[in-house]
Amino acid sequence: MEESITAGNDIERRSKLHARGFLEGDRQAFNRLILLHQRMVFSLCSRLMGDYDDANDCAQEVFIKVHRYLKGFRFESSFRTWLYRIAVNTCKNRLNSLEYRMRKKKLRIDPPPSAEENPFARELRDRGDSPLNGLRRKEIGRIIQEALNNLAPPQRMVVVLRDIEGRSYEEIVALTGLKPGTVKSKLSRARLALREALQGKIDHELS
Amino acid sequence: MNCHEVEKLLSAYLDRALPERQRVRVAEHLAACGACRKVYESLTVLLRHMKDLEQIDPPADFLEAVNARLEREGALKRTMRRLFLPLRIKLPLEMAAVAVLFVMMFYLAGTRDGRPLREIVTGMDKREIPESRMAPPAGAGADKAETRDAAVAPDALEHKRGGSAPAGEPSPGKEKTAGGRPAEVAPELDRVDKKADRGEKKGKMEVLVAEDRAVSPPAGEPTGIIHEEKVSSPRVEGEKPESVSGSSGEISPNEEERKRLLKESRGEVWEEADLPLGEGSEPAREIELEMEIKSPIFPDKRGKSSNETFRALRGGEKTALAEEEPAGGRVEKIIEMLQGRIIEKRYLPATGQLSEVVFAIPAARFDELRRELERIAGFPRPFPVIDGNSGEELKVRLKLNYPPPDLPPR
Repeated sequence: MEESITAGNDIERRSKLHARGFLEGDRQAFNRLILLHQRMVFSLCSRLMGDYDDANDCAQEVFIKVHRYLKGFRFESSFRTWLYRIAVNTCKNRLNSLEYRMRKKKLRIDPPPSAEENPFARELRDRGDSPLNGLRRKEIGRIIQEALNNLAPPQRMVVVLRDIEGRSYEEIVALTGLKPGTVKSKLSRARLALREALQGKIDHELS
Repeated sequence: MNCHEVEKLLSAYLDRALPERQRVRVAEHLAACGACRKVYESLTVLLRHMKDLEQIDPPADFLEAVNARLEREGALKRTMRRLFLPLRIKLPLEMAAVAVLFVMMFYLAGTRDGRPLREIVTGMDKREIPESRMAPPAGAGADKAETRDAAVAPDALEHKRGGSAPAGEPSPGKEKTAGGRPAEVAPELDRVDKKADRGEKKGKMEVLVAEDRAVSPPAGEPTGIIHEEKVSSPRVEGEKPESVSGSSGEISPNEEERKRLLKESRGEVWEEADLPLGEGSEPAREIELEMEIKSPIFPDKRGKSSNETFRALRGGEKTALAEEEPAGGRVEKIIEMLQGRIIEKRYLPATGQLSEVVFAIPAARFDELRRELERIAGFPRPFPVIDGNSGEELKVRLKLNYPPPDLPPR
């Protein structure tokens, strides 16, 4: 715990250093900022969007926004929180966009892509370093993401922020703009729905 | 507390987010109910799995992709900035543009007259301002046909017919003044007479007339400026303007004034041709021709008739437009080609198209002239028989009628 806080502080310190460098005209400083945060941003976008290409597009947009609005960043506040908020907002807007919803509607009608064809599933499977239970963990990750994709976007957002990203209720309220009661009820329903969906797949572990 | 209620609270129970009393009651229920305990345990496993999920790596080219997008957006932004200058630069520019527009407007319309820009630019002799220009044309956009009709007032026609008699001979029957008048009368003097004849511009105009008389060269000498159409109209030299207007018989001064005002209100624009009168001789006969221009443009080098042009344009043949020239310009070229001398030109104020041209041409070239004109328009009307061997010079007044403005499509 102590270690992770130290690591977090280090990332925060380096982020602000690069941000200052960028504002002073160092083009490379912005690239360093991207490299420092791309995994976190891309991962969050992937979980929220549920689609590899959508995630890629969103994550790029997040850094475009950072580039555009960094001038307005107040250095007293946390850079990571600021960045996180931009990422969540970008995904939220994308999920709410008419275009996205139309596309999802169309996808629902089409047969679901098999694991072999879906680059996102492939990505999820390819990851994982522990050789012992790596395969099992990748499989579980893919199954969970599929179950997440079947949730309504607000439910998915709440459960991802809480259970994957480990955010507190207060943070989720601030990030999503939902009321505390709504966050709790959506979270409860999302968790039960996920459990329902995963029953029989990772059943022996869930039971 | 039943199972359904407990299931709803399990999520908050797992997060230790329940008030103490509820937490205890849920815990008691879980201890007693195996089914609910099973749900609780599977939720615990689910949460652990989700917590353990690893972060997902972005594609290898993620950094390049972001930079490429930034580059694109930057280029777009620069373009936009160029298109939409900041207000502090844009506003003064716009104000300057408005000021320039105003100055141009007043210069063109307000200062002296409403002549087309072309006339001013070509630097015509500005010593005299014909009376019809003293007031800017009120109805510049008036119907073209109407304007053309108005161009020839009845009295003017009479004069012309009278003038088409051989030189020096008083024209029979149409005399408005007592006695004939030599044809060699200086154009200015004649114009002056005409002005005075129209009469009642009063004070200022009379002064101008007097000055004109003072500076005008002796009668009979070519001066190079012909202002009005009544070059050959019979009139006694030196007769007092008042007596002329008084003796004009059936047309009263008031009637003249009314017609003049009508002309002005229709925005007639006259242009003086700044060409010498050649040998100073007056053309013997005056012929009026009228022709219907089929198309306001004429493809010169392809030698197509205007009908062909029209059809080509209608058929969407873009190239037909490539070598076009205005029909009026074509007519002028034809006249010059046939050694004609242009005496007067008249334009439609609304479109700037040549509406009437008066020119002198050797009688021997008349047939050629007609053939050339037929290539632009229908047959010129009427169809006078001219003796090409007479060696005389003809004065031709050619009126050009244009199709309505919406034809052909351009």
